[in-house]
Amino acid sequence: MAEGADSVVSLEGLIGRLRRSRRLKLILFLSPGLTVLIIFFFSPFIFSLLFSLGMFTKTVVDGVSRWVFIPYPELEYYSSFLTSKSTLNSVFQSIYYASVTTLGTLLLSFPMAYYMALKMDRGTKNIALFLIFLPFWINFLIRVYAIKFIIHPDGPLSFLLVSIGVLDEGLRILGTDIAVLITMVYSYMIFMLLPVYGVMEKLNREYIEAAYTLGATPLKTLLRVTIPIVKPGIIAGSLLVFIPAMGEFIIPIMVGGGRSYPIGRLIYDQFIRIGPPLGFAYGSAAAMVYIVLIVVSTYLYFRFVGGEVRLV
Amino acid sequence: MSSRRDFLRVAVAGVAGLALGGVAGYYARQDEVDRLKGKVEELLGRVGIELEEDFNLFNWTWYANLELIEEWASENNINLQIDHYESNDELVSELELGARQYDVVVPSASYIPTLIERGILQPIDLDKIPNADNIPESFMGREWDPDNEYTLIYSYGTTAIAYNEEKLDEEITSWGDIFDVENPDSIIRRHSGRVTMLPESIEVMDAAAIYLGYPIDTTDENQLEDIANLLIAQKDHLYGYVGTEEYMEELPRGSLFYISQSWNGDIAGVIWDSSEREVKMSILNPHVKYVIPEEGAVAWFDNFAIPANAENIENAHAFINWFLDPVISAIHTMTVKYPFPAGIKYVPEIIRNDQTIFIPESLYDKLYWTILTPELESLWQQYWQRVQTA
Repeated sequence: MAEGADSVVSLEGLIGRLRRSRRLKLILFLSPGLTVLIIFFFSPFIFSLLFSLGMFTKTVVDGVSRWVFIPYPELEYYSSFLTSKSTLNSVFQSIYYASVTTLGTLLLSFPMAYYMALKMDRGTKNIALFLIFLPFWINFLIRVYAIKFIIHPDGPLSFLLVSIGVLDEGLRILGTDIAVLITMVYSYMIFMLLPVYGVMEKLNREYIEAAYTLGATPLKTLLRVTIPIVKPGIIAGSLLVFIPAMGEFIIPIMVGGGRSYPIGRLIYDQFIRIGPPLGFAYGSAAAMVYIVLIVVSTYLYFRFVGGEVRLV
Repeated sequence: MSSRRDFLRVAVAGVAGLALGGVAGYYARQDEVDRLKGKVEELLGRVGIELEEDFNLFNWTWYANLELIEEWASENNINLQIDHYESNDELVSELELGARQYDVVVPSASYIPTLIERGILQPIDLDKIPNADNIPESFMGREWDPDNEYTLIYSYGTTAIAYNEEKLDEEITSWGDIFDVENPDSIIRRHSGRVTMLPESIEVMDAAAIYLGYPIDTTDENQLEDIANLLIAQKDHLYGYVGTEEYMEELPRGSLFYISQSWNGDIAGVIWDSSEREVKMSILNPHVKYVIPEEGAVAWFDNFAIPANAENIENAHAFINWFLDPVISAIHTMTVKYPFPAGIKYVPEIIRNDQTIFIPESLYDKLYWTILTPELESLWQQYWQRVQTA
């Protein structure tokens, strides 16, 4: 069994080497995740880049429409995207939706997280967390449909408001920005609540008590003690909400009207409705601009808000 | 059908066994065996048993009796997959991408020359579709496919305006009622936010062109500019760009919106008590109206076609042939209230006389249609893009 013994030795040797070598450990731990990222993030990125430069396109070859590679980049799609006033409307609308959603989720989450972390006992806390997660067992689209049903002019909310005499006719918010924003704040709230709650949980109650003892008003305590301590959670939550909210397209399609046309919906329409080759090229150029926008806004955010990011 | 297939297999084995001389030292010659095999092959072909396992249909929303199609599939032991779209834009994009494979699709005539030119469709073998004889002469050999090499008529209709008359004090008669946004007394201004347009670029732009009195295949940039500006101005007073499923649900209630650019058969499906799974024959929503405006409207012709990347070609032909059976076509018409020409003679008179379903001949000279070239399409898409993002 000389061979078997050999392999045992080498396996032990390998484990030993792994223990000693940081580099090997790094490769072993990182490679599965990196592989997934490379396949599912970088390759679409590279394809989008090629589409947006018109280098990977469809043309008719021998009577059949085929994908072809063209080695000359064209900036036509970028220039038509960036010089069109109307596409910039889409960009601004996305920024508007994402900012309001971030602010809205923060305003709703902060007091809730504060109360949960500092005023609830362990058991109640767990129940509260369970209740927060509960809606996420239901499919996202169904939750959006539910909101659509609730705010529909024939829906329960309108019925209630009309029957108690607040309104004369059903609500007219479906198909407007208000409906989009309500739905977005609701859908993204958990991504703000959890990181803020996570940091709040570790907040040492004695700091707050100390502030009170030293004569600080509740407002001052909030501004000078609580918020600075919870800031990493707020930053993490804001990024988790802002970035996906910038690309949101399903909610505007489902509850927004014709005026609700953020960049996510533009990209979606270009890919799904217009399709290759033109829609892919134009949609990819838009997607690239979107990525740059995200990177720049994230950078600016760190630059001016600063601080470390702590996810939960 | 598996039992019948097995039965035939056994029968083939029996015949072949005989031929190969299971009996008393008789050995058949090779050519004799081949002849017999051919005979059996022919037999299988005739009873339509050589079908593939899968069949993928990509059709418009609300456009066939789904129950009946499911029955056809299960009877023939076929794995059926039906996906839906709500605009030609979606269909063309999906076909051009080719990521999903479909065996039968139903594009509108105006898109067909482009699809053929781009090699996205494959020829239909009319020998495998004897029921094509049931199609009235007037629907064969039309300008978009003169020899019916790639397509056969599926259904046809118009794009015009539907509204819930309980919500309006007057009748809608003109495209101006939903386009004249400059005039504060126009219907669209008085019912701002209660009007929808279709989510299909060409349909919306055609309607604006007809209202402005421009040809619906204009390439004149000034005219296209006018069309885009009109649509952008109209957008302020729209609920949105809404497809079949949503307007069929909302129009009869009229609480969210009550005036919709729409397809005639969808509205017939609202007026008549209908379901995609049953034949129902009573009026349910008489207060929903469909009008062809005085300026005219677009007529369209949807067609069966087989994509070039289809994998289940036998099934595709078998399906089309089955659908074109006059009785089957008539059942589909009685279900979703779109006219399927092959079955017209079996459709009850009460449906045949419905002017929402069957366009009255007196309106024929008010209907326009066009054939899109790829150039025209990409030019129009640029303007449509501007409208959407405005």
